[in-house]
Amino acid sequence: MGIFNRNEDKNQGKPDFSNVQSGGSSTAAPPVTTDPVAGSAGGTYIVVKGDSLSKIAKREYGDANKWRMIYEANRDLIKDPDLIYPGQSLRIPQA
Amino acid sequence: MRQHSRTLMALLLTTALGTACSRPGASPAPGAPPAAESVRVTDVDLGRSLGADKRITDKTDSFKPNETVYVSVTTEGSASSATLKARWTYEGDQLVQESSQTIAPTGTSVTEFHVAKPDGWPKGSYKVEVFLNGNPVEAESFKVG
Repeated sequence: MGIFNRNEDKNQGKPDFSNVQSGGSSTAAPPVTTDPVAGSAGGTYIVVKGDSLSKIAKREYGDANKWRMIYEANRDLIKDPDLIYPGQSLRIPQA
Repeated sequence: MRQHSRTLMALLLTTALGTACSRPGASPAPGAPPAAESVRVTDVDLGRSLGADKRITDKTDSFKPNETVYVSVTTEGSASSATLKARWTYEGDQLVQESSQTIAPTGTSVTEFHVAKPDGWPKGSYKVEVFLNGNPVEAESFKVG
């Protein structure tokens, strides 16, 4: 009983980070796999709050107008190019 | 007898020269390990935004609660596979997030990690530790306030 109470006390007041969204990307190619996914040669990108396809295109290619490349590579995930969601993992094709 | 000795000498000389000359270009023995791959982390930066080259364009160690935090990791060297991991912690011991990327770098490569919290970061001290193939290589501290 004492142990459980102590653990509860210890966790009290600690912030909740369970909704933290994370992602990443690299200029390096991913390792070669035996079963590559079409269109994934440029890596993946995890969408965070505030992202749009043109923002991601600007970040990935330096050109916001290339958003359609990302859209085309992710047609199975993106129904409306104006609607992407935090946490979505998008394929980034090589420019 | 003299003819026989000359033939033997020539044979020994040819064998010795052949062995010496073949070493530099020799193929590794079957089962020998491949040439060593070498990748090292040369730079780690924190900031609010990234350029197309994945480098930080707005370096800082002080963030607002609603900002996305980026860490950019520069590596040198080549490998068929290397794993970079970013481990984010709050106030020393509370794990915020951990994520990794496996890459096949050649030469200079830049890899970024980012974290965001939709309802805002609690104020306080944070740290991001960077690992290469499981080994800690660098840590950067930052504040949210």
